[in-house]
Amino acid sequence: MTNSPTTMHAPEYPQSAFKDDHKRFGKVAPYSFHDYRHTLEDSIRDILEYDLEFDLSTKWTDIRIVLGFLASIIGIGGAVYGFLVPFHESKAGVTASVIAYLAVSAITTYITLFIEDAKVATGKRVDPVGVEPPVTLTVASAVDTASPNCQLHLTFHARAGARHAEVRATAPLEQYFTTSGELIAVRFYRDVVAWIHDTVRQTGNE
Amino acid sequence: MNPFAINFRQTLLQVLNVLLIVSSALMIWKGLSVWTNTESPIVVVLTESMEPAFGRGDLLFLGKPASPLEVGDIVVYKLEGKDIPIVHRILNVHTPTDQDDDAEPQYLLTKGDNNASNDRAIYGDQQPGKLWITPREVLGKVYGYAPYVGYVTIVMNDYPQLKAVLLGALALFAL
Repeated sequence: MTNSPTTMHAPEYPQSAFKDDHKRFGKVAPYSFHDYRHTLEDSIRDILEYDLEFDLSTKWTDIRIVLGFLASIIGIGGAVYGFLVPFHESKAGVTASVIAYLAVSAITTYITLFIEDAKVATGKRVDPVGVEPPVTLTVASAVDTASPNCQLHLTFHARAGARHAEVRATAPLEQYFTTSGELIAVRFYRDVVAWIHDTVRQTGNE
Repeated sequence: MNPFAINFRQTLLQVLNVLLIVSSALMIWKGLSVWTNTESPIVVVLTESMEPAFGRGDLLFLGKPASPLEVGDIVVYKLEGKDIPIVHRILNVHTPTDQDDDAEPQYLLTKGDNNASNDRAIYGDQQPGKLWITPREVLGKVYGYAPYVGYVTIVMNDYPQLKAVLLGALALFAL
């Protein structure tokens, strides 16, 4: 059956691309919540892209890369200029490069903290028939390290035309990993697909 | 998005991490230079000539003073032809009364607290007959210090391989 925003059917786990994809993550350090979280975020991106056929957006990552390289060029260039030219002659140029570096770094920091924030992925699915409006799905994550079993909070937000829907899910991080640090891929796949289905269904597109 | 694009983006991000660490360190140094108006805002004491005030390995924080230098000020100066700056105390200040354009605002005589004699022998080393230094040769005045922190720099200068190892470890950590 064709996947479209109106009938989003993810393959069952044995037939999914994730069944083989997840092996590239290997084992993570046991009880490292930082590594657990990053592995699950990478998994969500893989599931969205390869099994649910969303086109993932990398716009803000690409902007950060460009700005980061620009800041590096300004910083390293300004420093080299300051080392090669006597101090009193180069002071104005070095001051300008320090200010420019701080400005570009501030923009990059703003993007990381406020625009990208806790977002894991943003993807879009377009109805190949063109009947239904495209669905844009954004996934954000947060980890509550203060809770006894370190809860993972996921927020799925879908928009289809004028309709919005949001589903929040919480699960202990550890339930998706074995004691040796291997991802329990089938469990996580089924949970993520169910949450995404719920979210998209609530936009009225299913 | 194909796997090659993912790997390329991840590689770019890792390279960027290393570049940002290097450029941040350089910009912090240059920013400090501009703020303190001196090309070397932080220096390490290499000898015992200023003991007991400062010992080998102490980190000194410099700034260009807005007001004229005075007797008792501890300054870092660099003589023409010498690579290594010297940190000593001002022993005597001579302010010329004539207002020629060529006249320096001050002439300074310095001495290490732990040295038996003043620095005129050092001045005359490269420039025979030189009896004073001028504020133009002064990199900055000492405004503060951190004891022993600069020992790492001394060790890295004595063992350059250690510097390479530390930089390599930093790059690996960033990746």
